[in-house]
Amino acid sequence: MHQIQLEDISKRFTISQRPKGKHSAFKSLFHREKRTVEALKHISFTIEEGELVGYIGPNGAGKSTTVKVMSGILTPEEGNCSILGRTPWKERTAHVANIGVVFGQRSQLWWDVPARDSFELLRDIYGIPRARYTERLRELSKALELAPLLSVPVRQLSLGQRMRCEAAAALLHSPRILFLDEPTIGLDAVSKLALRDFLKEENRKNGVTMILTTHDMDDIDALCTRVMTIGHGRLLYDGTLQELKKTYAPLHRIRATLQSPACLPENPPEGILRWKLEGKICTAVFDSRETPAHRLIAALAELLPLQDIVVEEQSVDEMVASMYQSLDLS
Amino acid sequence: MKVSPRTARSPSDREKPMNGFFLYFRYIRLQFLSGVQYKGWWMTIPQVFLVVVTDPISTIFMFSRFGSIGEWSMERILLMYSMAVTAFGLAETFCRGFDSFPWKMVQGGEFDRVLLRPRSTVVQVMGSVFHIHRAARVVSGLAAIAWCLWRLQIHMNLLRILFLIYTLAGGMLLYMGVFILTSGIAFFSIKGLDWIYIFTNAGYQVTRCPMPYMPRPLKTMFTFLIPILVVSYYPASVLCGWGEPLWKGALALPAGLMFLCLSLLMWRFGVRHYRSTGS
Repeated sequence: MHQIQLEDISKRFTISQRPKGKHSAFKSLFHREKRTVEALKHISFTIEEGELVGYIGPNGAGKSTTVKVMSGILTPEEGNCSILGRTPWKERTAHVANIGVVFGQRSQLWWDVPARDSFELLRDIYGIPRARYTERLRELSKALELAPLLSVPVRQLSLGQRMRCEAAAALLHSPRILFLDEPTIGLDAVSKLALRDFLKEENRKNGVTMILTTHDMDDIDALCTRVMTIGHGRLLYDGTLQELKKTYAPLHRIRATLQSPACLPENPPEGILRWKLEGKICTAVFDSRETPAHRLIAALAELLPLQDIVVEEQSVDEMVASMYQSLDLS
Repeated sequence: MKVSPRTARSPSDREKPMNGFFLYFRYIRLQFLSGVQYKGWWMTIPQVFLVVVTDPISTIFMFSRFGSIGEWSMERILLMYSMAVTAFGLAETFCRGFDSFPWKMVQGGEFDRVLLRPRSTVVQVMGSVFHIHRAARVVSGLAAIAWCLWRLQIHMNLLRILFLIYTLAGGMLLYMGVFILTSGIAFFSIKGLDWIYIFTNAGYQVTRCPMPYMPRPLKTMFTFLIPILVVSYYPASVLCGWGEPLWKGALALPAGLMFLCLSLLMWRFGVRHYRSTGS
């Protein structure tokens, strides 16, 4: 059986809006136009134990709604969802005992007291035996370097420090599944890298399944083996990052440094779509699906006095932007 | 907290989780620690003291104005009033989280987190706020009750004391019900909750009106719909021998409990609505 299985999940929200036209503010006192927004349209997917899944999509695409459905906060209008054999919105308490959720924008720690106090209350909430709690806290403190942070009131921690505590709080009860909603938002480079390393390690060591929504493509690149893209409430892509790159970022770039200034021949070698020369640096763009890089490098070497050569992919951000564009999401 | 002998004896993988009642006090402990984190937390002590002293003053002024109405002496009315106030204060002390719930947790989206924890939503919300100075109302209410009983020359034997506690417990449950009901309704509409004050703060004001002079619709409403008279007038009458039968006074606890249960149903209904409409 799949650890997580969503079948045909649809979720609608009704929002009221001000009617258009003259005196709309006044009219809206008595009559409100209701509009139905379909946040999720027939979403289906399965996730196996231990997978690291990146869930991406533009703002308002339905990422958070999906996470909320999977974590039992929202009840969808249609469809089935089974997580660890349970329906989240039907068996809330049993379900949430096995999951952890990190919201990058919202804290679950008690603001005015040191994180240690929050952890102790979480221990009581989840009914973690003391011995295991002590053991687990030691483990997490070591991995996240929490020791100096535990006795400082949470409100006095920096964002990076707080996120480390949030990660620990979400994993204290050793959940089998962890949902992360934009966990790295606003973090500096060092904190981001540290958090990613930690999540990777937690996944490797304890087999925790992780579903991560993010706008930071480096998160996806560093962590996720599988990417799902959602837009306008529909699942548009589900597969590996490599496959996604091949489809939406097929163009690679060769940057060659020349030994001495040279002139570009009129026609580029076959396979190069466009090229240019600026001083001693020559850049050439080609389609990696059609032409292997080594053939172009050989061709360039015959034409130009090459000193150094680098082949670059398009950045993941560029790729996602072109994907959103081609799927008409932006 | 040191390791308790209970867990030391059973290092099993699954421990029976702490029951909701104890968990609630763990929440309160944390709220208390939060308060103490701030410099000048001790300022709340004179504050509490001030509230305890000044809270009954308005009542005393009010009653010193109109004195007695027939056989309804000031002491009698004040007794019923303070029984209702004490019950309200107890509910407010323990259920403070529900009192501010609609504005704090629903609008702020904090309720999501409550749903993400494997415990009763009621316990979590109850424990989400705690102000020790809310207990001031209880202290002054109890003092007023004691004073009235002394003036009315009611001999307080053990049975009567137990009956008083029984009544106050019923009243507390009733008012807890009122708070929970308000919060349940808040899931549907946050604006326009002010009418609910008819049942809360204004609710105990009604006990100031002597029963024989109360209009019938009001009497019916506050007996059967929101049984405020059941936790004030009838028990007070039984306690002081004003002529109501014992069974009517004894309804205080069952009535409060029933109201609380109905409110919890409303709460569950509200939570379900929240989960199907989104935040």
